[in-house]
This record gives sequence, C-alpha cells and structure tokens, in this order.
Amino acid sequence: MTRAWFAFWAGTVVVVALVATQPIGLDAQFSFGLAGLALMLTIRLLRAKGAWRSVFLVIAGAIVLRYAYWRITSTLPPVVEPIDFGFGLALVIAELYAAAMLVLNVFVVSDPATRPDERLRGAPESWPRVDVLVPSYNEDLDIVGTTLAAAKNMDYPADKLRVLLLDDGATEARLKSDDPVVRARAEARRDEMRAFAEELGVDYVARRENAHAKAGNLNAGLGRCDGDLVLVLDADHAPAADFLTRTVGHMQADPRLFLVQTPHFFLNADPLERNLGLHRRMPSECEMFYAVTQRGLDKWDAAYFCGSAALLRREALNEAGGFLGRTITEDCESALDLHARGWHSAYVDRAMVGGLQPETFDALITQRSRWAQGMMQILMLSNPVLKSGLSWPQRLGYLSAGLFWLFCFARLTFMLAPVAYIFFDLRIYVASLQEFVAYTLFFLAACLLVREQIFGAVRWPWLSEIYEYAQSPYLAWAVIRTWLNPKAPSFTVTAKGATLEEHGLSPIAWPLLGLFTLLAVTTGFGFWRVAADLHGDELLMVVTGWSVFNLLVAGVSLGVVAERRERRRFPRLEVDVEGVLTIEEAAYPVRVRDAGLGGVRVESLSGPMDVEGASTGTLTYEGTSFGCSVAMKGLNVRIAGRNGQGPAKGVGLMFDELTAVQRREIARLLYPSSERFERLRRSRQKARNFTAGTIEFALWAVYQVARGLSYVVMDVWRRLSRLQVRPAAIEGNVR
Amino acid sequence: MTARERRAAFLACCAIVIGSSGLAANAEEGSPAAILRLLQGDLPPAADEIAPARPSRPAGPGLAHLPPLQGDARLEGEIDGVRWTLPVTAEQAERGVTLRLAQTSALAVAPELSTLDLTVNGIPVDSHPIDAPEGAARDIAIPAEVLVPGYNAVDLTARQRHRVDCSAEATYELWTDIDLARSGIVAAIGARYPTLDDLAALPREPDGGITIRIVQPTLDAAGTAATLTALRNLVRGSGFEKVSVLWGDTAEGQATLDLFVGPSTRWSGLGRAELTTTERPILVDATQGRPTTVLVATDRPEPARALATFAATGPRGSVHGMEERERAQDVAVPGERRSFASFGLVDETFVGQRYSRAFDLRLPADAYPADYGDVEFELAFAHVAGLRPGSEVRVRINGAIRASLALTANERRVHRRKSLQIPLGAFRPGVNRVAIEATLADAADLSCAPLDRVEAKPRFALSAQSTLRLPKLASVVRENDLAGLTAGSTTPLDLIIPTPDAASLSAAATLSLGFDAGTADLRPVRLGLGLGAVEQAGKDAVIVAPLEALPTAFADAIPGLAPGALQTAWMPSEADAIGRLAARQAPRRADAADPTLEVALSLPETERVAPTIDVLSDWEAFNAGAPTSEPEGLWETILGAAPDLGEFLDRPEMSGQELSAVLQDPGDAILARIEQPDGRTATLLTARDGDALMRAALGFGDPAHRDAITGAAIAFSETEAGSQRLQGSWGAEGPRWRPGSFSPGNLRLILAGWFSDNAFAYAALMLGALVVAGGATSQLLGRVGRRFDAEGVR
Repeated sequence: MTRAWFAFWAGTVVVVALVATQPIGLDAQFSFGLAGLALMLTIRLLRAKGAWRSVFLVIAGAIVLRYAYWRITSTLPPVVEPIDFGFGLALVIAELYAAAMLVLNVFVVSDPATRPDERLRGAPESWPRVDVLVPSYNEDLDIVGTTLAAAKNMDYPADKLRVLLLDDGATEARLKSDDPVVRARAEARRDEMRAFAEELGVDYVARRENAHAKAGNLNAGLGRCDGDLVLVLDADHAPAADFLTRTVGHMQADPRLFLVQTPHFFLNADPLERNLGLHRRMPSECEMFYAVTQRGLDKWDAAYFCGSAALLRREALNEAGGFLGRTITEDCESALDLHARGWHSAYVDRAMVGGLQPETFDALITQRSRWAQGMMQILMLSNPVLKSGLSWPQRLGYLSAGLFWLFCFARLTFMLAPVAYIFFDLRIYVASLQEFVAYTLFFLAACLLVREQIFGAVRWPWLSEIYEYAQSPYLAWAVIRTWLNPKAPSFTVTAKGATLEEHGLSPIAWPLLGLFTLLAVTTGFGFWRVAADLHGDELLMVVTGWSVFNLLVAGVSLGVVAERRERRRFPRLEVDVEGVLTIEEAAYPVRVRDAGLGGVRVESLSGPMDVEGASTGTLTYEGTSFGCSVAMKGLNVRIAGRNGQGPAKGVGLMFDELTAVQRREIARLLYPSSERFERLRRSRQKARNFTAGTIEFALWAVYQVARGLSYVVMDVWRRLSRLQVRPAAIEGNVR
Repeated sequence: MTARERRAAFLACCAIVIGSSGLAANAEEGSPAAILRLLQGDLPPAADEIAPARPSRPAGPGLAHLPPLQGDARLEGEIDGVRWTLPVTAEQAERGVTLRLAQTSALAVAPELSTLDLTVNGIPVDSHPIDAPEGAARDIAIPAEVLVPGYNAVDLTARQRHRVDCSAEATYELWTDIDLARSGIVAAIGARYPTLDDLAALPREPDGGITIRIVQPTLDAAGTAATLTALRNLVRGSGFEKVSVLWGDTAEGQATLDLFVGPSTRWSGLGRAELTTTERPILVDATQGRPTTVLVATDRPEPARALATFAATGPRGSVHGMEERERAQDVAVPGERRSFASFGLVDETFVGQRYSRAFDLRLPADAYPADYGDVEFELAFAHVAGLRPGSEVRVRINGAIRASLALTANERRVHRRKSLQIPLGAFRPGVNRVAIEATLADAADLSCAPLDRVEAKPRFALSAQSTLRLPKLASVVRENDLAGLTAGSTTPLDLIIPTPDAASLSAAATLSLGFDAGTADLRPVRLGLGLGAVEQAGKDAVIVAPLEALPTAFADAIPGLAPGALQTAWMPSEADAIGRLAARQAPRRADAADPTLEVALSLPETERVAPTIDVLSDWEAFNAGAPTSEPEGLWETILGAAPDLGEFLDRPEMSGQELSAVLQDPGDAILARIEQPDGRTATLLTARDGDALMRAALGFGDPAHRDAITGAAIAFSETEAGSQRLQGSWGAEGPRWRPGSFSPGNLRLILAGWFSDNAFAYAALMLGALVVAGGATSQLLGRVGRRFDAEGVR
C-alpha cells in the first residue's frame, strides 16, 4: 500500500514538476502566483491542519520551483559579458542555494514528530546504569560545580548513576607546561576541582594531554566507566532532576537506539538578544532548530547528537570506537557514523538542561565558526550523500545541516548585489518590473509564508536575516579556510560566564561597520540616481528598495555589535521559597524571589531590612520548587546590589564559599524539574504578527543605528583618551 | 467527334482567328503567319494599359512603373523611409536611367528643413527639398556607376520638419506620399528586353505587378502542366513579385509578357526557329511595339531544362538589391541573433523629436508564438543631455507599444547593449512590423523657432548593430488554416481544376505562383484536370473552380457557412439555383468515372454541357462563325469586366485570434479549407463566377496579402465604390491544429504556449495538481518515516 501511495505521489510530483517548469508567459505566472498565495494565505488564516499543511508546503514548493526555473532560464546576463554574467551567476547561485535550503527544510520539517513520554520500565534494579560525563576545559567551579551538583541530584538510583568530571584544564601536559602561568593555573584548577569532586562524590578524570579535544576527553571518560548508557553534559549544562527518568525509558523501549537528544535551553541572553533588548521577549535563536528541525529530523530517524544534553548507548559507542574526532564537531560526526551503522536516534522535545550561551559577540562568532567549520569538515570528509548505510531522508537531513552553514555566502551576496548594480551598473538581474512582481515578489512572499507557517512560533520576522548577516563576514572566512585545508580547523572552546563592565563596541565589529557604511552610501547613491532619473530604469528603483532593506538589516546588526554592559555573570531564575536572612544577629523573614549560580534576591516578609552593603550573614530557607523539596541551612551570603543607605525591602545576596552539599541544594533549588525550563521555553514561543514585527524591525534599525554610531563615537573617544575598556574574563584559548 | 477531330478543329480555329484579324492568314495548321499574329496581338499604346485588370491611373508616356514598395507609400513623421528594388536591363545599367518620383506632401512640411534623400545600392544619389503640397514630380538621374544589371536597391528617406509648430503632436501632421502611378523609369517603354535576364526589368503596372498571358495551343493535361511549369520557372527566374496570369489562347488579351508554350512547329514558319540554339533554347521575342514574348518549345528537352536552370539561378542584381529581395522572404531563425543591419537599417543620427524606423520580422508560418519566450532586443543607441522628462525609446510590434525605456533626462548616455524583452505573444506567424521609436523633446521645443533649427544638432542615434534574437518557437500545423498554403512548404501539392476553362486556369496559375513563395525550390505541383482528379489527389489538394462547377457537398463543407448558404447568396433565384444544381449532377458523375487528365478533350459529346467544355465550344463556334454563348469572346468578357484589381485587397491586419466563427458575408469569392465527403481535406478556391475567381487568385498571389491569409475560410467582397473587404473565419469548430513535430521540446513549447494564452486555466490546473500532490504527500507522510501515537513508535 505504501508503495502504491509512493507511486501515486511520485506521479503527482512529476506532473507538477512538468507543469511548473513550463516556460509560460507573465499573465499565466501572475495568475498562478496570485492564486497560489491566496490559497496559502487561506490555509494559514484558517489554521487548516492535516493534508492542508502538505498542500500549503507543496504550493510553496511549486512557486519556488517556478522562480528557480525562471531565474536560471531567463534572467542571467549573456555570457559574452563576462563581468555581468559572473556577478549575475553568483547572485543566481545564492538564490538557488536559498531555494534549495527552503526545499530541504520543508522536507525535513514536513511532518515533525511529536514523541510521547516514555517512562522507565521495570523495577529500578533492572534499570540500566548511567555514566554522566561532564567534560570541562576552562569553566570555573561556579559553572562546573553546579552542573556536577545537578547531575548528582538527578532522580535515579544512586548505585546506577555515576558522574565523571573530565577535566581537560588540568591535564598532565598543562601541569608540565613551559608557560608558568599555564602551569600555575592548571595546578590550582586540579586541586580545586579534584577536591570538589571528591566532596561531591564525583569521579575526577584528567588526561595526560588534550589530544582530539572534546572527543578525546569524552573517550577518556568512557574508558573510566562501564555504564550501559552515557549522559553527556557540557560543563555549563546543568540537568533537571527528571532528566534520566524522561530519557532512559526510550533506550529501554528500543535496544537499537543509540541517542536520546534533548534541547539545549539557555538561561542567559545571547549577544543579539541582550544588545537589542529582546531577551525573554522573543524565542531563543536555537529554538528554531530544537523546537522544529530536530523534531522533523526525528520523523526521519535523523535527529543527531548536539554535543550535550544527550543520552547515548555505550554499546553503540563501542561499536563506533567511541566519539569520533576527525572533525571539530564530534557530536554530529559520531551520530552520522552511528546512523550509517544502522543505529537509531530519538529526540525528546523537552528542555531538561539549563545552560549558558556566549555573552559577547566575539564569543558567539568563535562558537559559530567552530560549528561552521566542523560541518564543512563533515561535508568534505564524510559526506552524508555518499556515505553508505544511511537512508535517503537521513542523507538529506545531514546534508541540510551541513549546507546550512553556507548561508554566509548567500547572505553576503544578497547584501552586496545592489552595490554592483547601483554603483557599477552591472546588469546582474535581467528582468522587467513586471517580471519582478510576477516572479520575485511571489517567491519572496511564499518563502515568508512558509517561514511563518513552520517557524513562526520560534522565530520573529526578520530575525533570521539579522542573525545570519551579523555572522556572515566572519563565518565566510572560517568556511573558506576549511575549504582550503579541511583538516586544519582546531577545537576552540567557547567562553561562558563573561561580563562586560562598560558599554562598548565589540572588538571584531569593524567588518560590520564597514559593510554598513558601504550599504549606506550605496543606498544614498541609489536614491540619487532614481531622483536624477525620474522616469528611469524601473529595475533601479527595485534594486534601491532592496538596498534599503539591506541597510535596515545592517543597521540592526550595528546594534548587535554595540555591546551593552553586563555585570551579572550568571542569570537568575525566579523561585518562591520562604526563609530567614540573618545579618549581624538580626533575623529577617524573607521570601527568596530569584536565584542563580552566584546568589539570590530576597524580599523581606516583615518590613524593610536594615542592612548595609557588603555585610555578611546567613540564609536559611525551606519549601518546594516545582514539586521538589528544597532546604538550605546556614548558607553564607554577602549583601550585594545595594547602592543606597537605610532600610530596604529587598536585597541581593551573593554566595560565599559554597560547600558541595550547598551546591547540590542550590542546584536543587534552580533545577528541580524540567518543568521550569519548559514553562520558560513555551512562554517565549509566541508568534509575532508579521506586520507588527516588520514595523518593529524598522524601528530597531533606526534606534540601533543611532546606538551603534554612538558607541562608535564613544569607542573612538576612549581610544583617543587612551581609556580602553576591554571585556573582562573573556578567555578563548585554543587547544 | 473524336478527340483527334476536335484537336484538328481547335488548331484550325487558331488559323481562323488569325485570318479574321485582317492579316495575311493561312488556315493551314502551323501556319507561320497565323502564329505570328497570335503572338503579336493588338499592341497597347502605353504600358499602363497593358493589363486593364490592374489599376489604370494616368502615367506619362514612356514611364515604366516600379516593382511594389517594401512598405507604405506614405512617409510620415520627422523621419521615415521606404525601400524597394529597381530592376534594369544590362543596357540601362550601362547608360543609366532617369527615375521619376511623383510626390505630394503635407502643407505643414517646411521645405527649408525637409528633404527627400535617395540612395541606390547604398550610394547617395539625390537629396531634394520636400515641397509638393499640390503634387510634383522630380526626375532623378541615376548614373550608370551606381547601377548593375538586374535588381538594384533603392532607399528613399524623408526627413520632415513642421513649418510653424515644434510640438511633438505636430509631427503627426507631416507626411509625403509617393505617387506610384506617376512614378517610374522615364522613357522605359521603348526599352527592349531581349534576353531572359532582361525580363526582370520589364515595366511593372501601376501597382507594381505584372500580367503574363499564357498562350497554349493545345489544351491537354500534359501541355497544361508543361505550361504551368514553364510559367513558374519564368516567374522564379525573373523575380517578379506580383503576377497576374491570363490563360488564353487568343491574341485578344493584354499583358506585359506573353508566354507561348507549345511545339516549336507552331512558329517554325516564322523564321524564328533558327534563333533558338542548344545554348539558347528559349526564344525571347522583344520586337519593338508589342509585348515581349517568350516562346518555349515543348517538343525538345532543352527549353524546359533551360527554364529550370533559369529558375534555379534566380534573378540577379547588385549586392544591396539582392539583399533587399531576400529580406522580403527572409524568415528569422529561432536562437539566431540578428543585427538591425540585416533588416536593412543603417547607422543613423536624428535631429528631431520623434524618431521612428521600422522593419519586417518574418516568423515561420508554422510558428505558434505565445508568451513562452521573449524576443530579446539589445539596442545600441545614444542620446544627448537636456531631454525633457517623458523622453523614451519604444519598441512597437505590429502597431502596439510593447516595451519602453525612459531616457535619462539630465545626462548624455551611450547604450551599447540595452536589453529589452518582448514576450513572443506580441508577435504572429509571418510578417511582423517592428518599429523602433524615440521621443526626444528638449527645452528648445518650448520656444519654437523652426528656422533656427537648420543647424540643429542630433539628439539621438541608433546603431544598426542593435540586435534581436528569437527564442525557440513552437511549431504547429494548423490543419484547417489557409496559411499553410503559402507557408513555404515543399511537400507535393495537387492542383485540381475541375473545369479547365480560361478563368479557372488563370486563377489556378496565379494561385500556384503563391505556392513557391519562400521556398528554395519550386514546390512540386501535380496538375489534375476534371473533377475526377479530386479523388486521386493526395492530402494537399487545391481545388480551383467557380461555384457552379462544384458539387454541392464541397460548398456546404466551407467552414463558417451554413449548408446551402453559398448557393443562396450567389444564385440569383431559387429556380436558377435548382437548375444549376441539377445540371451539376451529371458532370460530377461523369468526372468521377473519368480518370484521364485530358478532360477537356476527351469528354463525350453528350456531356458538353459540362463547364469543362467552355473553351472548346467557344473555339468551335467561333471557328464555324456561329453565335456563341459569349458573343464578346471569353477573354474580352473576362478582361472587360475586370475591375481595378490593384485595390482588390487592402492589406488586412488579420491574425488567428481575430477570426470569427461565422462568415457574415460570403462575398464574391471564398478560399477555404474544407473536408471532402470522403473525409479528406482540401483547399478550395471558389467564386460567384470566373471573373471573381480570377480576381481572388490575384489577391492571394499578391505578396502584400500573403501573410494575411489565415483561418479556415476567407471571403472576398467588393463594394460598389470599388473597395474590397476580406473576412476570415475559423468556422464553428475553431482552429484545428496538430504539433509540427512530436519532439518533446516542441510539445513542451506548444503546451507552454497554450498555458500562456490561457492563464487562468494554467493557474487552475497548477492549483488542482498541487492540491492533489499535497493530498498525496500527506497520505505518504502518514505511511513513511516514524509515526507516533500515545503508545510510542509505530
């Protein structure tokens, strides 16, 4: 029956492809485009589900196909004009890439899986043993300690749970380094981490040297344990207590399952969210991937390992020889290999770790460059299309994941194409205004509708353009370097928990500043040409409009690299437990309102508290958090965050010298259940009205350009005044 | 009477005719004097009186008219031009000729600023002010240095300015008419055309055409076929553009050229037989004072071979002249980039404010142009700074503006390859008029001082290196489209003349010349005489006959007409109609049983009532001195009744889309694609009578009208004022076509063309297919990949 349906489907697709690639006239194209968009809009407005969702996507696919066909066959400059042709071809390739990615994405997310809960089966005695591997390199104890403590807090039989700290920051090679600073740091780190691990009941593992980076570290950890399952957690990814109870059941249900991946949920803001003031208003950037794409991949048994917050089967890892380290994205590479070996994967769309993401723009670029380079390495060294053992959906899924990182070239092409037309009169897009309307506008509208339909709840309008553009100049160079030498890229650890003492421009802002200047001049020149040639080239008007859009994107991106001050290292989570704050022998009944890795904020339950800044005391609390009992006795704290004098209703408290037990209690308070993360996550997954989003986007552009330029002036002034302000605690060492 | 007896009687009849004219006559078969008389006939006093079937407007003595113009004779606007070819004999090329240009210009044209420029073979010959509000003629000496024997290219360009008004609107008041009836080569009447090569220079009639009279001694099938072949070869070799054929075996007709095809014994006594040699087997008798006569002997193979060679060689002339002639038949090749120079345009600067140059772009007749592709123009032009807003370059296709390009107002610009795409749907099969226009108003036009513009600088320049390129074209065969008749096909064609009387033969011969248009070689034509030949014809059959000679079923099969409508319209009364219909039954039955080609001479005595015996009975009656049914003689009747054929067909602007389903008025003659009673299709030319039949054939033979022949049926009619009307129809079933080839590429283009013409159908089909595909996708997605329910993976 399935074959019959496949044959029927293939027949309809062939018919559609044949009809869609007819070289029809403008009237017919316009009629089809209009009718197609009208039907898509109707489906969207009526929120039609089921088959209509497929109809929606198929119509979009046909519009895209018609556009691609038209671009290739009708709009390229003649070959005899090599400069025009070259630039025109580059633009066509960029557009075709975008169209191909849209089609690939539509395939991947055509029917996202909604996986039901899979509870643990059998008596606890029969549950598989789990080893928790926490690789670390340069994260401090506040970060690693909390993750280890949260891991120890997980609801799982203690005799079946083993936590290992894989400390690559204190390898023997670093302990014997010729650099005294490195050596001193490594020694201090080993002492601190080992002592904490012993106190917490965690295995401390340090290698001889940092070979094969994270993959090597994980493999070293694998050699020190023998559990049935392996939970990999990045050092800053603290798990919720119910992580294992919600994931191990999947492993029990399918013995050929090698992976249960869960979303990465971040508690802090990325540079764009922070600098544009959008944190907690809009969905996190990664939600597009975790809330939609991974579910889509799961449908095709192609969900892949994302390096953390994932449960893996040791048997499968053993078969593959551990985590693979040919590339710097060992996670995806390992998953690809295991999929090819016939193992399955699962994705559980429930946030069960609370993590940190890069706080500064340069840290973000460091992280994304590694991802881009790693995925390019996979495409070049272990191409999923050619790899045997994979199903075609899996191949397409991995191909989509790899090709995604070429967006930097497409985005730069889209940004710079108007420059070629407006400044140099290069004929890169041979079309009339009517054709532009009948083909290009319908294509763009279809793309926007698809994006709204599929990703609307997890990505606000125009945010993708901003994210992509802001990264493109940097990633393009990283990708090119990988192309030139696929084996050259090295694993670079992303800095986490950084603070910024002052407002200022990112140290790597200059490419975006230069592009903004170029686009501004181009747009101005375009307007001048249009004004000087009132009845002139209609395509010039279109291209100038396009340049305006580019300028808006570049303007907002200027705000992204204008870094706002951030003095708080760790994000706070709302809590609600009552306790007693004792300061200088005065006891105040308080309610703990929020908490983080570094401290809490309390509010007095009995009037203003007469406390001084920097004074010390103890905090005791007891209650429940998301159904989990929490209790803390005699936690040493310092008053912080008080500028004024006199009594205060609420004060901030910083932790002093946490013991292992206290860290577990703090972790229990912060990560009692995945329900906390899910509520936060779902509260941000709200679609933004397209019109409102577009207006807001334009307003951002105006405001962020002003803010960005003011930061430029400020930066120049500081340089002139020799008052350099550097981001503190940014450490991006390269192994 | 046996066939042999009738043949003898016919020949004797020739002698009697000769004798009755008062010259020395000898009734003996093959009498030299008789044949001479037959050939000489009564000479017309002037060239324009040669063919009364054509427009007979006053012309000065000794003025030889010119071949048809390649374009309109009215030169409009600030710049306009017309081109044609000027044929001269070797003798004229050696001495030079004087060209008389009769012209009338608008009163608004300022003579001080306006000129009429003449170039011959690209060499400027004359430029004179335009100052002919009341009409004037100018004799222009064309020196021998610029002429070559044969066809020479002549380009006439009018540059006109308004006397008082500098507005763009005023440029529409500027015009100069070239009066063709009063133009021509001066003193050419006395010229002689002693060789086959010189025939091309024969004086044309006022409308640019030429009349050829066929003299065929014996009316048999073989002789008629030989005559037809000789005629076609002669026309092809001479390069005559527009030919009217009079098929007669008397000397009474008037023509520019007499063509005698028959046994050499017919003129052996003329003392001219010795003039033909193996090297020069065709005798061209260019005796002063009478029509040039070409004698082709059929009893030897050399003349036919010589004529075939003459046709294959084709006309000669200057390089420019031959290019100009080729352009008239030049069919654009899809995918080929053509420069404007190849269409006859030259690099040109322009001083005024409304520029326009036009040329013809001919698409293949089987093309199916729709919006599945674009004709890509790459214009090379320049303009000055200071133009007012609104200045633009436009491309006009068949009268409609299809693309425009605004000109930069405040700066000088040179565009070397400015691209403009025009959807193919703006074009049509056959000839398309492409005009490049520019509106170029500047500040000086606001303060109008026309005389100050004598030294005005050019505002615009168009390079002949501008190009256009056709996309791939879908090819369709319109099975019921008359355009196929003149589509340049090379497949054999059956020309059926059910009643081989003079009118039918003349019409068929005239029509047959149209078959050869646009073909490299003459189209094979099989001649069939008698209605019985219809049944033996192949799939491409053309039947030429007046209505009364046709079975009812043929007339009833004409698309766009109700059965019987033609009889009702063309028969004066019901009784008459019934009588004629009854009379038609007998010959039809007889013809059906008579497969011979020698229909006219082999018909039984009892069946002479058939129209096919008209010629013979007339001749016999004339020979016997008895009164005939046509007392004035067949040819006199025909010629005397012939109206002004020059205006028979105004150049119609017809296309397939404009044709109606019904022929409102059958007019006087109809050309139609019909389905015969046995299911086969054929092309039928029929008319109210023989007179109308001849005129209709002439209309179809006119190259100016050839591209307008489209649809399943076309009716001709004329008003009392002499103007003619042409109405086309697809009939109730509409156009019926099939792919020109079944290659995937062609089928795809045809489908795309249909979709382009039916936009809503395309959108509906696509959406329907997409909804089905979406449903199928949904069903498939439910069956492949992972599916989950509350219990987990299924």
